[in-house]
Amino acid sequence: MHELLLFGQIPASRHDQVLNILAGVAAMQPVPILEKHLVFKPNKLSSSTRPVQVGGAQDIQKTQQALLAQTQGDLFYMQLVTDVAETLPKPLAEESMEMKVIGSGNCLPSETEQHGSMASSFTGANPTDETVNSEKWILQFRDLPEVARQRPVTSRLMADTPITSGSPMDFMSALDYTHTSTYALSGHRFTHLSTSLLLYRLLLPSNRTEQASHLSKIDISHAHLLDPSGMYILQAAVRVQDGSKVEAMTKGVNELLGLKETLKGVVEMEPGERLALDTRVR
Amino acid sequence: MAEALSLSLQAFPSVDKEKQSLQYLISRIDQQKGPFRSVTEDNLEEEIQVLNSSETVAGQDDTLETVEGAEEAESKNEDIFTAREGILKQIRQATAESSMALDFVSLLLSKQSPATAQSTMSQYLKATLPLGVLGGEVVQMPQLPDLERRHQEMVSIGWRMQSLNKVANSLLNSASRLEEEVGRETTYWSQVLAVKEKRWPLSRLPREKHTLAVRYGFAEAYSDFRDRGLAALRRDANGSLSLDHGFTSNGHRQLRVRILRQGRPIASTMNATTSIPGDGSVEKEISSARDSIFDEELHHEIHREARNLVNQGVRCIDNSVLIPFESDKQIEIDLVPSKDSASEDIQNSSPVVANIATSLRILLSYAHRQSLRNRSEKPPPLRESRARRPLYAILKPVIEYFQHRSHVQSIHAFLEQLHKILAVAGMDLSIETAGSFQSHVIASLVNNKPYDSAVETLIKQLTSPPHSTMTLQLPDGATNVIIDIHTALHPPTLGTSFLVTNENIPPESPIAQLPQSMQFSSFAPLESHLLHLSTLSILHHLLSSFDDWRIFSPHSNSIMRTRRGSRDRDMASVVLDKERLALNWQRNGRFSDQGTWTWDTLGLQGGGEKRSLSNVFESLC
Repeated sequence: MHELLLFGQIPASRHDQVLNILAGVAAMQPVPILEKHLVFKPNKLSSSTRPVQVGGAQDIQKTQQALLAQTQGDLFYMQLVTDVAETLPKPLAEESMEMKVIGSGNCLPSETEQHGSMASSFTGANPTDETVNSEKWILQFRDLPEVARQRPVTSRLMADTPITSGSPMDFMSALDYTHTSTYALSGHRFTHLSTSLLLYRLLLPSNRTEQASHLSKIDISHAHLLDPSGMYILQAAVRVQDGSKVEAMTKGVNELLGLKETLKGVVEMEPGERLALDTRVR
Repeated sequence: MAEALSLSLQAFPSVDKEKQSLQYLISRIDQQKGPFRSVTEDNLEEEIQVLNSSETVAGQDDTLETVEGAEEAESKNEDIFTAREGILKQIRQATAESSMALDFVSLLLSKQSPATAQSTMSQYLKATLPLGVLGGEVVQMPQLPDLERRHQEMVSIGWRMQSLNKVANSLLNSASRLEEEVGRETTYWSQVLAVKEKRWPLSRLPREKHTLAVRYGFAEAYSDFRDRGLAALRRDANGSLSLDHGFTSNGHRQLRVRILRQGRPIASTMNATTSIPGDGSVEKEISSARDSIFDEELHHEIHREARNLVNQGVRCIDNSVLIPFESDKQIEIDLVPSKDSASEDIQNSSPVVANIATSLRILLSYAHRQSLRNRSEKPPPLRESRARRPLYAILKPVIEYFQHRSHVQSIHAFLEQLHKILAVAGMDLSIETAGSFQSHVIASLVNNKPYDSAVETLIKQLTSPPHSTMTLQLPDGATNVIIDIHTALHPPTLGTSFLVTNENIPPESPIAQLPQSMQFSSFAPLESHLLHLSTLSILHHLLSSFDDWRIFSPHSNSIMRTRRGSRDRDMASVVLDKERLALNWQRNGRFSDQGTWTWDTLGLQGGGEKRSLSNVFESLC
């Protein structure tokens, strides 16, 4: 699957206004999201530098070379993601939705208040490891974006694999990946045609131990922002089933550009910096 | 003549050679009368007549005025255009006059101070005339006679007064015109405000940026209907608000549900006069436009769905959808102009049709709600092929409900009949019906989970396949038969299915040898199965009372006994059908000694002999 992306930045002071505008553009109420991201790093294969055997059939050598290229090629970080907001008990989720009804003239409750309520219910809902394991985890892979020569948007290969059963942590260690860091994504989601609009901020757990241990809850009320200025990121993403189909890709690009035009003067949407979105292990 | 004069801000026109030239005249005519194409002999003559009839001096201004007067009938735009032309012309003339005056003064001064004068001279003058050729000296004004002077003063005062009056009048006219305009605008905006206060969303018309529009369509409707749900709020001549639906509107229409028997309507939704809330005419119009567009969409969606329900006997003929109803009737759904309600001749308003219409509308609203929910989900990845718009389930629940109801009713009627027959024969068959539609709804509302809204629960009851349960207690007094009736219009059943489960069977009963549960997909086999079950139960009842009898063969309806010391045997069989219960017996295997005893409901009515089955059987023994 391919993903086409545009990004924009909004200062925290304009957040409520932009939320209102996006609600109007998408003609729907914002859906609050709170995602927990665990970043995994592959362990390098030490035996990959084995010298090529001389002699033998040419075929064997070819396959060995291919294998070698694979093992010596780039290795990528992967993420395990779970939506914490979805696992909230339903009445609470609805209550918090009602609080944030846009367009009726009501002011939004302050950001900390939202997070506070979410975090408290989150900690209340998942007191044990069992419930943590019952969360729906998604294994996310994102490729290095393609060189932006032809398209005015960022495009990259992606794969989201839902983990339906079993322990995701065991699975990752079996894949020879180690957990390196944890962060949380908090914000709102909209859907406009086939575009998924995400207005979010990234949060880091407050202390070292929380950052290291993957299963512990993230206490949002104490987490600090990755960007201390409080800027929000608006991400517009279109997923395309098959990136080699030009027609579908063009459709996706046109939709994103149309959205960019609509949001002109509200948020300036630009393609992302390619190397900043690099997911390769250095 | 004096009162026609007006004070002009222009200098007196000086007679100029140039102004007589053909080139100047052509351009002047062009400016005054427009292109030559429009200047015909006829309209020139007409103009002259107008000129003559009004006592005006043929001055330049007055000509303009008369021309304007003649063109009063023409559109406002043209008026403005001519006025603009007039102003431009005057400006041009003023420029020409002033530059000429400047040249004149410069030339005069060029004798005294040539350097200064030269700087203000035009190129043309410098080229044509040498400097200092014009001289000037002070001359004494010729003494006018007093009388003459006074006359001149009077004339000039008169001119001035008249012009001032004219200006004042035109200002007053403008003021009153503006006042009217303000009045109109006030009415318009107060009406717009009234619409807004009724919570109608107002927006700009996408194609005309300066026009207000009211949105009465539904955001989740199919794009054709969603885009049409917008009407411009225009101001008509007297300032009141009028709705402009554009070209798409073809009058308000309404969904009509009728019940037809042999093609003739016997009930209709249309005779009920629906009153739309809102006193103002505009609000009423917006409301009825909304109702109309909703019904049009409903009709469209019903049609789409009906094409896929042909297997249920649904037919689409022209604009109407026909659904079979209660064996000999049909439900007809079509779209008719709202105004035709008066012409409807049926006076019978059945609650059924009204309820059908209400359910259909509720189901479309629910479909809208579902579509918003689906739209708000994370979008699926883009593919080459376009996803097809899903069909709404609007007719399906209604058809399911009626089909289910008719099946339950016919089972009930059948069982009631059976109950009567058995009662005549002195046996009891108790029937318990559970799971009627209403009881389901009430139960679900009582057991409502805290986060499900009542509306959703109700709708779920309406859309989920209907299900009823009947429990029979058979005449042997122990066995319970549970009939589960499910109706679902999707595969694999595509209709109603009946599941018959036997419970509490005494082990010695012949019913114990039958499968414990059986499924039927049509009514006739179910009937015969139930009759068979009842027959077996009656046999079991007899066997338990008369010890020496035993069953003839499994699954048969006959019992027999062999008398001690005799080779002959007595046979008895029970025959139960929809009309009667019959007991056939044959004593000692002889055809001469046989007979039949019958119980039916006629006997019950006629007050005939009321002997119970066991009584009769006992006497036969």
